[in-house]
Amino acid sequence: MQPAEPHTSHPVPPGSTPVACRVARRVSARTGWLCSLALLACLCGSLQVVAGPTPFRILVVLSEEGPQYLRVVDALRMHLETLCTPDCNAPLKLETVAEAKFEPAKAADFNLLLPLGRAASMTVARRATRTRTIYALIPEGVWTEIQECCPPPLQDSSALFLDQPIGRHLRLIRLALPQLARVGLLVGPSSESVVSDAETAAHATGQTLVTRAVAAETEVGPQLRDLIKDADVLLAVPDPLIYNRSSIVAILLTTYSERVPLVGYSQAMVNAGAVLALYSTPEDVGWELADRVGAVLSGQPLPPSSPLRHFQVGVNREVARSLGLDIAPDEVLIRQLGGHTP
Amino acid sequence: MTRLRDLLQSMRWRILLIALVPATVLAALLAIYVISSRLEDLQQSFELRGRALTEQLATAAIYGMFTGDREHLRVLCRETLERNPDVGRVRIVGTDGEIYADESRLAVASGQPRRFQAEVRPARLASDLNDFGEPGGVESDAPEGALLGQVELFASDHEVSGARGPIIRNAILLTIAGLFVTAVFAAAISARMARPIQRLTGALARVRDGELDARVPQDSVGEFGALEQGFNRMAEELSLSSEELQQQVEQAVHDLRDTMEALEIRNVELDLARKRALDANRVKSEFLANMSHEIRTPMNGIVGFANLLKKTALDATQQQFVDTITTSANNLLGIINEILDFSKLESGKIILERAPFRLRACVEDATLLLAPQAHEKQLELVSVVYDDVPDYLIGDATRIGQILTNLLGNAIKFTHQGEVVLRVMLDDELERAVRVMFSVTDTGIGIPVDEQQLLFSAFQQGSISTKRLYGGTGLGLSICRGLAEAMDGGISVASRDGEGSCFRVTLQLGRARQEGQTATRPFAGWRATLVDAHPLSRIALRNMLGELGFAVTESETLPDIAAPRGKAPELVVLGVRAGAEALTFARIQLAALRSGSPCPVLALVSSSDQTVFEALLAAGATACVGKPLRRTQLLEAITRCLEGGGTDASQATADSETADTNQEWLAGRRILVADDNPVNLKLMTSLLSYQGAEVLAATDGAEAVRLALANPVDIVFMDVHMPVLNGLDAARQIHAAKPDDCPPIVALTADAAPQNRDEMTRANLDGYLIKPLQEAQLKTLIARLLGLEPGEPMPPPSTIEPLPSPQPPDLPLRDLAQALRITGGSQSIADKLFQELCADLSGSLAAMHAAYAAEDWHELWQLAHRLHGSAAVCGVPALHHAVDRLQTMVRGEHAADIAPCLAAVQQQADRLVSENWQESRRG
Repeated sequence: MQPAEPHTSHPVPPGSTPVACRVARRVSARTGWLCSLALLACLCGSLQVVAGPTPFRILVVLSEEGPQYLRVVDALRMHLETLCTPDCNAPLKLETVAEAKFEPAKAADFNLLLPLGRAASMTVARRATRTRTIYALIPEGVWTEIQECCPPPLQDSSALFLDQPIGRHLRLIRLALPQLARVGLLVGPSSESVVSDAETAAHATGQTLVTRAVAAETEVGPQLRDLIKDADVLLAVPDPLIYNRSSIVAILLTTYSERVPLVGYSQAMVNAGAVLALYSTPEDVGWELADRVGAVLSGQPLPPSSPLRHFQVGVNREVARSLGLDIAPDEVLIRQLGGHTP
Repeated sequence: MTRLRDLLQSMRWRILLIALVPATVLAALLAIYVISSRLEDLQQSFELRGRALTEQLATAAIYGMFTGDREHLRVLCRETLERNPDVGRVRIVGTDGEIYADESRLAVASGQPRRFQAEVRPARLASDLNDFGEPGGVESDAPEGALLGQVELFASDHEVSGARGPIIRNAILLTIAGLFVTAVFAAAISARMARPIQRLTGALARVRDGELDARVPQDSVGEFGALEQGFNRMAEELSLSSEELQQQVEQAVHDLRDTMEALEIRNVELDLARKRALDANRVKSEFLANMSHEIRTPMNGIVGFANLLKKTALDATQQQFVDTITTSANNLLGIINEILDFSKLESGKIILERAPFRLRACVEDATLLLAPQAHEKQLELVSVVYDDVPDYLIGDATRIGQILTNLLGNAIKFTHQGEVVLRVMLDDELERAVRVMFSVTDTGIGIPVDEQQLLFSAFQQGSISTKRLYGGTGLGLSICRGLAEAMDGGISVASRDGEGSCFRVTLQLGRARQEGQTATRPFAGWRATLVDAHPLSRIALRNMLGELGFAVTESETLPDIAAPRGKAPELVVLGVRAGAEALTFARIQLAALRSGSPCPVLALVSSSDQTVFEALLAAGATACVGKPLRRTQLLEAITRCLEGGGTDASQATADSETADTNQEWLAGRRILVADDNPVNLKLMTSLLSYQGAEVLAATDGAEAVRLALANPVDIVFMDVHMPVLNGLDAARQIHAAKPDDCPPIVALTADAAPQNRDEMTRANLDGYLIKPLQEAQLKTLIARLLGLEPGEPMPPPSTIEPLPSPQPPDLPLRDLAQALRITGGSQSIADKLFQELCADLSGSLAAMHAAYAAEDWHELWQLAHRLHGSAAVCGVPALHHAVDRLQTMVRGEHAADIAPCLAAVQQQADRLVSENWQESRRG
């Protein structure tokens, strides 16, 4: 892993050496008597090259300096090296800073801000200037919250939603578990908004959506027991009230005892016992961020906020075998879902 | 009990105990540990099982509790009860206390119910459900899953309780079985180990008991085999060593026996040599005594006839020759007397008299005897007897006088100017005796310190120059020491060269009862003035005057008699020292006194010179007497002085020459003299005839008896030792023949030893005279016996101590300690000597009886003497004393006295033989 460079560092521009060679070739083509004048002109030309074109500075603001975030930054840096500045001469400078050390006053010095995660996004949204900003690693709900609390000039910012669209989940269930048509959905106060989208998508895929809503933590168990009586598969959507580290084991035990597979939304859920999961990796995020930075560098306006186009499908083969399910390979499923691979 | 203790202390039991005790302790500890471990494991297993069951149930209850499926929970509880018979009850309770399920068994198992609890809490996922943390919101921070409820399980431990008994029983049975096997094994091992040791112990005991050929069979291996081999070698070495030692001991005993025999022979030879030496010494002493005796007899003639010769008409030259003969003879007599005394002391034959006497008279006699010599050298001779010294004592006055005469004579001899003082003082008072100290102090030439201790040895006389200058035999002080020691006293000297000497003699003398005579004080109330320049002489005179009753005023010079302070004294006693100056001074003082006072003056002069007396009388002295003097003499002198004069100085100083005034005082008297020595007989005849007596002479005892019976005689002088019939027997016969008118019989002897005097007393003799005869003594005795004139009394017979009892009361028959002392601690020699004595006793006594029957006294004396010597070295005090008595009696040659002594000897001999026979039977 390549360490993040501090925003105070000044690396040598990658394009400085080709410029100096060109100038030298021009000098060798002039006449002799004009040598001294030409030397002066060369010197002036060299000075102009050293000051060079203004670098395109990108500041990544990290909610935390965990490995997942650093993997996102690494993937971003790797893909940015393939890109060019607008004039192809200006250097592209990527700097990172922790959310706690973020200085809004210096935000104007950067051409692009990339807050990663909820905390960094909220901080940048509240204090940033008019610098263009791409928010990433946040659910769509947080983007909605940012828009409500800190109305920025929307033309200068967009977001990449971390959560997968509910229709993509239903298609995955349709592809991987075609025999299970009744899809159960347990929602809480923060996730009940997905129910309408889910019903629409289920209608489109020919699936039956069974929903139960809980208002308190104590209702999760009984509502789940009631839900899985009517559903063939349980689709989990991000809601801390229902799905968290403490409840997931009991939920899995409950569904497992009723032989109802659980389809999750993260790699961690597949590892915990979910039979399927649809999620994006840090590399997927870094790749898609680099695509959006490339669009900015190419002078295009910021793309609108959207879910990630790059995603992965996780299958827990052990659980699937226990439940007697035969699931197609991951690549097949991704391809059938129309997903991109880096 | 003792057998049990011995059994427990045996090697076999000890080995068994050594093996069993640790094994038993170890087994007990292990059994306890196993039992406790097993029970603890059971309990822990029960606990673990209950806890596991509860936790398993809690896990299974997560679904039911999470979903609220009570039926599911009840099914769980029932299944648990069915699968676990020891579980009596299962209960699941919600967090709010609500009971979700409670199932229990109808038939409750016995035992103590145990309650187990477990929480129903689902596990918490380790990682976030979101791959990028919680981008969508905040999750609960609970460290673990939410608590859903609690499972309670009640299980009975009756299985544990039921298993406890079999565990303990099995452990104990295993322990006992192991111990039994161990005991059997240990017993077998101990028996194998103890057997060779027991054999060795037994063999050792046999060797200890002297069975040195004891061996042990060598059938063991290892250390025991080496031990058995070593023991056998040691026993063999011991046996050889013992045999060698036994041989050495036998050889040593043999050598020792030879040595002892040689020593016994040597001891006997030494004893015989000692006896021979003693006999030789005795013979020498007897020879000396006999020689002295034989010399004294002719000396008697020389002195006697010289005195007779002086009474004849002689010219001046002849008179001087006769005086020289007399002086030389007296000196020779003194020497002979000293040799005689020394011989007696050496041979132990000197026997002291124990008779009452007056100490002061004895002292005065000695002083008076030597006064002429002191006066001749112009020395002041003073005797001081302290007041606390008792006058009446019991002892040998003659020997005391001899000591004092010797010491005073020496003092005068070695003093050229100054004084010689005799002090008599009380040294110690005992119950029946006193210790009296006599000191003779002079101002003579003194004695060097290194010569002082030699003085009391025989024939020692200080330095050679002293001996050459002063002469003498050198026996005087030796005799004094012997006499003093015989009187339980001693003698010592303190002196410095040139500063005079002080001889001190301490004697132990018996106290005598004062016989009626109390001191008379005829001049009580009279005053006397004593004038004497010599302090000690003044003290002596003051004491004597005080004893006569005078109130004495003393002074160094003549005081003013007519002094107005008091009345004039009735008597003035003037002491005059020797020498012309003192005489002149005395005459001046007398002249001054006569001019002022008419009181009588008694002059006491330290001189024997008649001219001095006459000069003082002429100067005014009322009377004049030489000093020192006796009390009686002082009394007579004072009486004459107070009667007004007419004092005859010669009468005052001489004590024995009064007879010269009447040479025929025995006229008309018939005196019988018996002596076998013709010289002595001639001398006595001449002396008595010269004084007017008719003398009948006899040359043996029988003739004397015949003459005494045939003629009336006034007095008989009888020599003791005469042929035919000795003097004592002759006296007895005369007494027997004339019991009523027996004349006084006086013995003549050269040996006035006490035993001889005893014999003379028993023979009814009226007195004795010691040869050589002194004419004055002869006259005094005759005068006393015939009542012609008072003289010196003989000691009355009653005052002489009676003869000792012939049978000693308390002497032991045998004194083994004495015998061992004589034999140098050798018991065997003492026994041998005693056996020889017993063997010889019968023969000796038979010979003695035969000699007695034959009246062969010489033979009897010889036999007694031989037995006396044997008895002395055998530790038989009673027999020794009896023989000693017999030997003494044999000398008297009187059968009547010898018979009881011989019977006593026979009795003691019989007792000894009987005792010896009984001892031999016991032994």
